[in-house]
Amino acid sequence: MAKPSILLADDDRGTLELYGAFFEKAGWSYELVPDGQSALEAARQRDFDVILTDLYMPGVDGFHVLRELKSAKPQQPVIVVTVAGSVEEVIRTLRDGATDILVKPVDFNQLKEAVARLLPNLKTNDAPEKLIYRYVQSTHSLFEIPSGVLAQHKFQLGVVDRLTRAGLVDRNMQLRLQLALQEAITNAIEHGALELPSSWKDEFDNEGVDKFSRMRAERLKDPKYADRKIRIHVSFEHYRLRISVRDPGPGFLLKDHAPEEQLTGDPQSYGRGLAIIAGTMDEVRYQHRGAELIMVKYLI
Amino acid sequence: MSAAVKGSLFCLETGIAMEFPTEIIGEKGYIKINADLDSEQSGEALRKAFNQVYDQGKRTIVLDLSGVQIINSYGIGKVLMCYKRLKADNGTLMVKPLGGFVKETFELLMLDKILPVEQ
Repeated sequence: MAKPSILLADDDRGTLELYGAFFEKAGWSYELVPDGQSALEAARQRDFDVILTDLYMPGVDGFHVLRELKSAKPQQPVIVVTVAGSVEEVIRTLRDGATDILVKPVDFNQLKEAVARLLPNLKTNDAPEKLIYRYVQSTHSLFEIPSGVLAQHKFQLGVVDRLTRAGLVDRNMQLRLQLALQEAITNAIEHGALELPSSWKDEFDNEGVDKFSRMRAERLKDPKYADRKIRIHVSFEHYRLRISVRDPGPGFLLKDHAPEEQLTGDPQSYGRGLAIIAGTMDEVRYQHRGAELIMVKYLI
Repeated sequence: MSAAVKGSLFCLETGIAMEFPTEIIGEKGYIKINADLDSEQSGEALRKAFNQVYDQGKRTIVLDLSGVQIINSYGIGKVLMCYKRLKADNGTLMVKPLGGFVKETFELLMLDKILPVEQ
């Protein structure tokens, strides 16, 4: 079996020592952390083949770790380790994206088998996909998502993840493309669907909360705004990645872009989304009076 | 809306509050940002940590970005809110360290011209 890299999160010191001894003996690369927050930080800074997390930890628990990891890295294998619990608990972890569940006390042979089941997928089973994706001629996806739903989740571009695995996009560009899409979606939701003017970001109440944030939270609970749909079309054809984001409202406003001269004076605390998008994409243009933003990136 | 609900307005959406640890060293206040600055949750955590240090009278505040992999326009907006508040008091907002994707984003938006890096 290939040597995997493992991240383990558990608040029990004895458990960490026991697992550490096992990983050491097995010759695996590993990192041990005592809580959920440390696990998320480690996963953010380094790549691991498999992440194991205890479910019940003080502060950031395993449920939160699992959701955050699957949101940021949908393909990340996560094995949840827990004491024998309820069926509802099992269902919840599987729905949240757990790859496998192990029950304490863990039989290390079971752990080895669980990791071994994942390793072929990591090392060899995606090889055909890598090869095939280099020859893909075109692929199209169309989504229409209520703004209330879209605002609660990070919309990940599956095609970008596949292009990264195929070696057509490096990790840095993967982050840039995902960020550009998030900026476009955020603008479509906030200015298009929720009709929030950026100037509200500089209006504060007595508690120091800006009006923009407060009204955003309120309107996301109002079906009049939250049910408005955002249309996202993603196509990849002949190494040209095209993403369009269309909203039902006024759309992406050019005046939200902060001109350079503003940075020499008192910078606005908003209006950087377009610059982030323009800094990544090769082409950025608008249609339908600004309600649709089209972004193009050439990958060769 | 009760005070308890008001105070946790941003926690309602995600379920779990995020906190950034702070530290006072001499005349400087430090905020350790241990999450990506790309969400309401992290933005609220930054606001609270900033207020905590600011209310202790510190007018030179350093944002430790070593735990940040991604910062989007929302996170930048929150950083600039801190910058403007300090500037109004003749204070200084600094960052450390600046590297990787965050450094690229800062340079793209020319924020490295207004936010000095603490060495």
